[in-house]
Amino acid sequence: MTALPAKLPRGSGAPLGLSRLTVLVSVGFALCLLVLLVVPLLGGGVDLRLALAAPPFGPYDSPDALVFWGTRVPRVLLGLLVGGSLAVSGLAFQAVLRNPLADPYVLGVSSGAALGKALAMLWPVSGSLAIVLWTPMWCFVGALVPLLLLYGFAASGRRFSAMSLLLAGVMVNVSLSAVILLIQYFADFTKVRQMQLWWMGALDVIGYGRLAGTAPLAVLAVMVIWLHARAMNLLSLDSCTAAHLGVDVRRTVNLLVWAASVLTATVVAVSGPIGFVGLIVPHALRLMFNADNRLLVPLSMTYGGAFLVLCDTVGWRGLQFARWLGAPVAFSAEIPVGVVTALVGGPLFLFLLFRTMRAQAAACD
Amino acid sequence: MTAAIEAHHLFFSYGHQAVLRDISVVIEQGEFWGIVGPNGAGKTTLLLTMTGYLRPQHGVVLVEGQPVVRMSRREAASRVAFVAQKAEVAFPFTALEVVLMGRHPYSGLAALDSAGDVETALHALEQLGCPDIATKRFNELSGGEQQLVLLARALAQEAPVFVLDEPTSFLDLRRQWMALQVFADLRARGATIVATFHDLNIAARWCSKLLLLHDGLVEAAGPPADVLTPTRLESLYGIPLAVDLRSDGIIRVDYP
Repeated sequence: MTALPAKLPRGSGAPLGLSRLTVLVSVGFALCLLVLLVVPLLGGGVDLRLALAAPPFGPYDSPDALVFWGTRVPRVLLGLLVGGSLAVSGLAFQAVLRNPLADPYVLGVSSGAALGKALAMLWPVSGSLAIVLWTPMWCFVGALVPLLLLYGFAASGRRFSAMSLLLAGVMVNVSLSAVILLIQYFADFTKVRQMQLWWMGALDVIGYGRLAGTAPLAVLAVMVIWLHARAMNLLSLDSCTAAHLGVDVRRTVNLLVWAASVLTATVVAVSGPIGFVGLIVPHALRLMFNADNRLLVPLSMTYGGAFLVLCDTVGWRGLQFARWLGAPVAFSAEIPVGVVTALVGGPLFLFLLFRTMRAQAAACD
Repeated sequence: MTAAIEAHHLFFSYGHQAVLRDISVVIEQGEFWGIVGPNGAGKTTLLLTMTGYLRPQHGVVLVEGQPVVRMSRREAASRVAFVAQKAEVAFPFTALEVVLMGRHPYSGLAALDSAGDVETALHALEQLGCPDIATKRFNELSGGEQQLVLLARALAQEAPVFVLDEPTSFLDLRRQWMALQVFADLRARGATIVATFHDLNIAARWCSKLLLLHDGLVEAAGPPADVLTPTRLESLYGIPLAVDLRSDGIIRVDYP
């Protein structure tokens, strides 16, 4: 993680573009993140000496090893994968739609995947391979609904106002939520509770099966997006200019929209619709570094993952901390990570929206 | 020797609206063509068919002897550099990064900027007299500076043919002169330039040939002195105009 910023001046084309401050900030950040990643692994009555003595993938000879290797480590790894994937997916949607407000959650792609998941829960299948593929498949089918709508927007090749984009996203979200509520209304009680928990976005997993099922496809999609990072930069120009600089705009937009949707659907299938990571992380990285997607794709992957693990730690350990301070919190309680990211992301989103609208108003004067 | 750009009997319409009706022109290598005419004459559309971005319903455009619509976007970009009238950049890229985008047709799989790319980009900005804006954000530049960055991007593209839509818009007199001088120098070294102009005086002063368009048809083509005749211009623009051929060979078009 620390090696990345050091290589920066060559790749991004200029010692010119990169100040010493930026390098210091990024290295400092990376170190903080490393520390942060360790925090959720510690404490909570686990004897680390016993845990670390056991083999990572079992068999576990103590409850300490089971808790540490069986739940905490996979939870952190899943957080890294999901957060990174959502951030990269947001980055790709932003490049294609030429709008920093785009995010798989805001655009309704996550809701589409959620609908798919609800349907998959309604008709469960048996068999280990089927379980691994069944839910992601339904999630992707669900994600297709908003995707087709988005694709219509993106392929028209103009830059949309933030307003029309958001309105479209809000409408997709509302409509899909209605369908999900309808499904819940007719589903039996245990399934409803299951759906609701998942719907809030959570990272609790046991073991590595789901991680192994999700990672290959997610990594593949991230690689596809990274290989088109330079074309993503050129798409920031109008599509006519991008075409004149040698980008096959239609093909590139196609590919990016599909890759980002597959990426979203894959991780949403495991974690539920966690919002705003794809919005917050690329935005912060653009402020800290620059707008070059060749840099932003790998940085979004790492920082996005770290951000989600941080949010999860806050939601998970925050209540323990509150209890320790004497607050009356139920012993088993934890705040779903999706709620934490929404609490951080919602206000930021509003701030960005107001700023965009103010800038647009100023441009008309 | 093959011409830089040949257009034969171009017909192009957006829906039912015919914009180019029957346009033919042969642009030899090393010429500087100015495309002039009233608003809505089809100037920009003609440029976009020349770069292969728009596919004419009839007729054919050859760039260096080959049909441009059959080239891949990358191949076309290495032969023709295009600068559009307006540019928007959606994210906070710096001026240098925008200029470096001109190197895209030559990028490999890794898609990083080589030291040579950076040097080419900086040189382009220097030629246009604005190396100091390299690290500034494109969106925070003035209209004139943005125009210079876009022209620098075209220079960095290192294509033999330049197609420019209103290259002098937003530029003050000094920058206008500098920019046109750069393209005149390139032409002296064999580059071909096709540009639209609203200002007939600039067009007459810098171009070796003019193409006067009206309503999707070629009204006149040739050296500026032959194209810009008072009767022709008056009937085209619909107002009285004086054309003054000065003793030093410079043509001035003005209201009387």
